[in-house]
Amino acid sequence: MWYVARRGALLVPILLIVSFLVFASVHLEPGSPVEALVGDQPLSVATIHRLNAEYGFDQPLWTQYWRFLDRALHGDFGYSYRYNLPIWNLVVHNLRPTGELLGTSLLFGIVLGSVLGIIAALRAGSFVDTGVTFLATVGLSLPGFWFGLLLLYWFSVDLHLFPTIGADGLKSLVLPSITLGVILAASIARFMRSSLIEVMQQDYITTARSKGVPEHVVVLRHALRNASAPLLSIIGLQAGVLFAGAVIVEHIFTRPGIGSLLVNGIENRDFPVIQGTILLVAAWYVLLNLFIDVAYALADPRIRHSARPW
Amino acid sequence: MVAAMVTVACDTASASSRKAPSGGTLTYGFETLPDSLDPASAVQSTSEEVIKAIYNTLVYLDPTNRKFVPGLATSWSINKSGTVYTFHLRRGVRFQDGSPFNAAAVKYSFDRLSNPALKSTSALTSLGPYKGSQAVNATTVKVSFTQSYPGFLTAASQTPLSIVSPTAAKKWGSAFGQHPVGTGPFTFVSWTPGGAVTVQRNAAYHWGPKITSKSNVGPAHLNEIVFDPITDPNAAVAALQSGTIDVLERVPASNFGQLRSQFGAYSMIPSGAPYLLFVNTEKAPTDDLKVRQALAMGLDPVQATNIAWFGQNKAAAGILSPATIGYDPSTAKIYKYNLQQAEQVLTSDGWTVGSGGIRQKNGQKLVLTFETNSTFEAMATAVQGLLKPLGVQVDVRVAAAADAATFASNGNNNLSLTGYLSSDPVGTLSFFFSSKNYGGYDWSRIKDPMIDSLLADAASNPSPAKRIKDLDSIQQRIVTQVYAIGLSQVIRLFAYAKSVGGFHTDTVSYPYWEDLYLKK
Repeated sequence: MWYVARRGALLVPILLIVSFLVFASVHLEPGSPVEALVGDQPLSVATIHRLNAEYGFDQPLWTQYWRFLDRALHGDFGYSYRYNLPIWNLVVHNLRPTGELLGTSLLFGIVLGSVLGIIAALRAGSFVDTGVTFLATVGLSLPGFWFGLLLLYWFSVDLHLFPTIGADGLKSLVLPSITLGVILAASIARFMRSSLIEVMQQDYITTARSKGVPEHVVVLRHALRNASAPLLSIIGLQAGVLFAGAVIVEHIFTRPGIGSLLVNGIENRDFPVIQGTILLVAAWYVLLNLFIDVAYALADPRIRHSARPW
Repeated sequence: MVAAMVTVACDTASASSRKAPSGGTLTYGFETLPDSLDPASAVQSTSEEVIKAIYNTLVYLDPTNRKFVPGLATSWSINKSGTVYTFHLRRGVRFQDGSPFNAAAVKYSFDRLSNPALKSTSALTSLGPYKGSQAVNATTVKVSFTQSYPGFLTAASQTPLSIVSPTAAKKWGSAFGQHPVGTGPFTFVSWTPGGAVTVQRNAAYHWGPKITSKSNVGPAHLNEIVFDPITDPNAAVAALQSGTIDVLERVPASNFGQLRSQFGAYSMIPSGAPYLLFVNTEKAPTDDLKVRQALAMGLDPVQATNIAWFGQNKAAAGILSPATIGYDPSTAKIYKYNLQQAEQVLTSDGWTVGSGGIRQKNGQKLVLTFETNSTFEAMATAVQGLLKPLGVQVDVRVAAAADAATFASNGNNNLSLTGYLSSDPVGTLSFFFSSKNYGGYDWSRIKDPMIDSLLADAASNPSPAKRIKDLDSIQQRIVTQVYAIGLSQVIRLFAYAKSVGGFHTDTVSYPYWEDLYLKK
């Protein structure tokens, strides 16, 4: 599959550029990480100078970047300044809870959004349709932080149905997934609705009906398949929003994960952590979009057989 | 006599800690992830709290009378010049890995701090002018300094100078911070990266310090403690209310009043510096002493504290917290709040009220830059609002903690704000007012030779009375020159489930873990 190989090869230059941009931008901030490493307690100037030398922050930028690149190519992404743990281990350890959260949120968002969108499309113009559209607008405007806290207080503190903190087990995934999935559900609902309405007006639908195909087969096999193809692009676009939302949700529900790792890293000016997580997110983004393009090509034969899609 | 301003609203009527029920797991919620459990490297106060459970120090400080209580050292003596401390060590003490505690372990714990791989900050600094240690025999160690260091016992009573197991430290090297081994009442079990730390009762422990008559000197009552970091304050309060955690430290002041009715409540003011408003003496208009004096007289710390702390805190009364050794209460009386007097000072200095109610002089408006972090935003906004009637405009900006600190260190603020936890008054005052820290935490941007020489004397003079006099003079100088204005006390607010007993803390607000128990 030439196509896949070509798109996959893009990963390398993209990661190199991203790594340099991240490296440069965190060093543009005033002060060195030592001042942030200080924690609660202030340090004397003499101690700050000593630590700058010990960490190598007094070296020129290029030297620092080159050392980083050299080690990274040997699989060593360095050690967290604050926790003195290898970056690779930190990132991999935090992948699972974030992966679970993103997975269940995606599932929740896609299922809820699709169902609502389909119902609204099939009853276009009715009261149900208006209701769903209204809900979708509300869902899009909900501040995730506020909604998450609300769910936390209602279902966890008051009703004791779900845990307040932590990432053990399915129960701890419910409230965070709902918080994160709601926004995705809202945009999918709106898109699915308009996409399906448009598809239902196509000639091949009329043809299928006139051939005597039962209505549910018309909808499920013919209409839905064509209406969902563009949905993949929506998910690809929303992936970034979902990750940003994951940062907030992990904070509110006290879940470990890539989001918490990144936020902590930024607050502590822990450059290796920041670099490691952003590189990972960049890689994820590129791979995800590659996957979506391939899925799109598989779903829609017209794309597969058309000329080079650069 | 300094009044001890330690307000305790806890269950003091409980049975003597020694007869408390045994067993159970206590979950303790705090705000920041610990960074390392190696006393040499740790910088977070939450790390220090866990370190306090796992390790012991040579001596301990009795908060009621500021006297030192035997810890791993049963007795000690200091030579005439204050350069050599001889400690006689307790017998029969073992580290949690079974290795024996002895003079060699003390020597090792102090010597290792200068190893650059450990990147030691407060531990190395608190070791002061350290020359070396000598293990005279298994139970006697001599610690030597290049010059007189009267503050060493205070330093030795704090967690950074805890005694570590040489066997474990050598075995784990720079990973010792994730595999701590000490002599303390709790043994380290596990630490989920970015998550909870679990410790278990050390069954062999029977050498606890007798700090109060009710101190538990034997094995801890609790089976286990789980330290749970919860970064969002709302989630933390929710966790307490849902029973997921048993104790919450740093309860937001806005929630504290309401939680008191359902939970045990404990508040205390640790020793160190209260939240101080540092006034930049180099940047206009605060480079003018008259302007600074007007600020000192025109800002009421009582009102500011009530606004920012929802009535749950006390105003600062000077440069140090009243719980600190060497606190001078007379400094609180130097500039009393008097708005009219403040207005007169400004007017006679040429600052007349202009448009919008803000004063100006020679076309320059009386505007103060005040960049700080989100934790202090409430206090900053209170100051801003309260200075407006005086005709002073305060521009408050909120930035990330590290950025705000750097901004202040570079002399860009007119006003800066922070507090400081420590039992050591000389260390506290040096951090903020020694010219050695100009460009660092000397946020008042002073290079005051009088303060520098007083600090040097207070750090080394063998006479305690003279040292106290030095400290008084330093505090008075800071207040009269208005290098800083005391705003609010650093108050520590704790809330705990009704099933928790024996909760109390030391002078820097770390709980005495060995005294905690769960009621049946």
